[in-house]
This record gives sequence, structure tokens and C-alpha cells, in this order.
Amino acid sequence: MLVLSRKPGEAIRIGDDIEISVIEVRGDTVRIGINAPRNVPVFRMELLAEVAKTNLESVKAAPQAMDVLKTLLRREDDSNGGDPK
Amino acid sequence: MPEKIETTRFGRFTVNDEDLIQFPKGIPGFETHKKWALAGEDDSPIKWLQSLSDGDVALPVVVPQTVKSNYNARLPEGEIALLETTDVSDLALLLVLSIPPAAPWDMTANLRAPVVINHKKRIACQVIAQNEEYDVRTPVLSDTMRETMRRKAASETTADAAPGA
Repeated sequence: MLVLSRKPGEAIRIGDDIEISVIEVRGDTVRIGINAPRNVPVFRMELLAEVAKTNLESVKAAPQAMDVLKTLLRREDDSNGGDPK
Repeated sequence: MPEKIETTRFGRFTVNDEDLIQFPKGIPGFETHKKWALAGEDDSPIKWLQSLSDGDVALPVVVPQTVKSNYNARLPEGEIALLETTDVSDLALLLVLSIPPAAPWDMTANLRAPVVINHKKRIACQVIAQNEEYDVRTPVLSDTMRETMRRKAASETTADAAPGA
């Protein structure tokens, strides 16, 4: 991995059209500005892992859970005189 | 040639070519699963995205408007390029739900990463939208609704466990 030291206000250029600048350093937080073409996806690294994690949780859902929901929702309607709100 | 697979939720499952949805990059967490199909009852708003690589793997999904009426995901062009269309009317969006088995009322929807499907060519991918305000775990039901259902389910469990007590 290439490691560079930068100060606030300084920047790094990647390829022809991506620019990353250090905006501010405060305590253990670094604020970073990114200039990239619209077709380049930029997101926090942990986000992709989080999406994968929620997908892995999602497959644990059982159709039975859906039946429980439906039943409880129906009774909810009944107890409110048929008004779903 | 229709694909056949034994599934946990739908038994023996047959998918015709025209119902097959290709995910060239898989789905995060299931990167090697390239072929999926939609399944589920017509009268239920919740459908299932069934993997054809593994019969145990199916993700509950809903159309975004079920969860958020003014849902408006900003999708990066680079991610959409894979779907081989520039026409947004070719695209359909679905949100993946997480439904805790013991507390289904606490289900959440992943607003941040919708599944985007080119329904004409049947190619899809899960895309991380640029909307910082959208959470990967957004509660689907209101706090009041969840609380009511939680209480109701708890009282039913108690009644079942101790009849006549």
C-alpha cells in the first residue's frame, strides 16, 4: 500500500479525475473531501460489509414470521374497528 | 430449459428462463449466487428473492413505497451501467427486509442499498445509493404499532403457557 502524509488543505490526485483532499483534522477524526466523476461510486468502507451483514440476517427470515405478522396486523385492524391506522 | 431447485420455503421450485434474474456480481454476502428468481404469494406485499444456487437462501423484499412513500434513491451511474440500460423506466427497485424470527414486528428495510432490476433484460444488482440519510436498517412499522404487537404477542404467549391461570 502506498502511504502518503498530507496536511489539512493538501490533496492527492488519483488518475485523471479523482481528487482527495484533507479538509480538517480534529482529534481522531479526519474530514476528507472527494472530487470524482459521477460514475465512480464513493462510500464508507464499512457500508458494504454492513449491507452484506444485513443480507445474511435477512435469509434467516421464515415465512412463518410473516404469518405471525399478518395475524397480529389483522387483529390490530379488528380492535380498531377495521381502520388500519 | 427451466431451472429446478429444491427450496426450504417453496418446496420444489421451477423457474422458466424468462423469470430468471441474473445478478452478474451476486449480492453482497452471496457473491457467488448469480441466478435468482422472485417468488411469493400474490396477495402478500412481501415477496422473496430466491437464490437458485442454494435452496435455503431467499431474501424477503418489498417495493420501496410500502416502506417509504417518497422513496427516492440516488443511484451512482457507474453501478447502473452493469444493468445495460440508460432508460430509468426499465428499472424496478426492491428493498431487502430483515425480519427477526422471534420479533417479526421489529423488521427493518435496507433503504440504503436497493436491489435494482432491469425488468426488460432481467439483470439486477444491489446498489449502494448515495443517500446518506437512508439507513441499512430502517424500521418498517411505527413505534406504536411495534409496541402494540409486542405486547399482544407477549400476552398470547403467557396465556398459552399458563391456561386458566
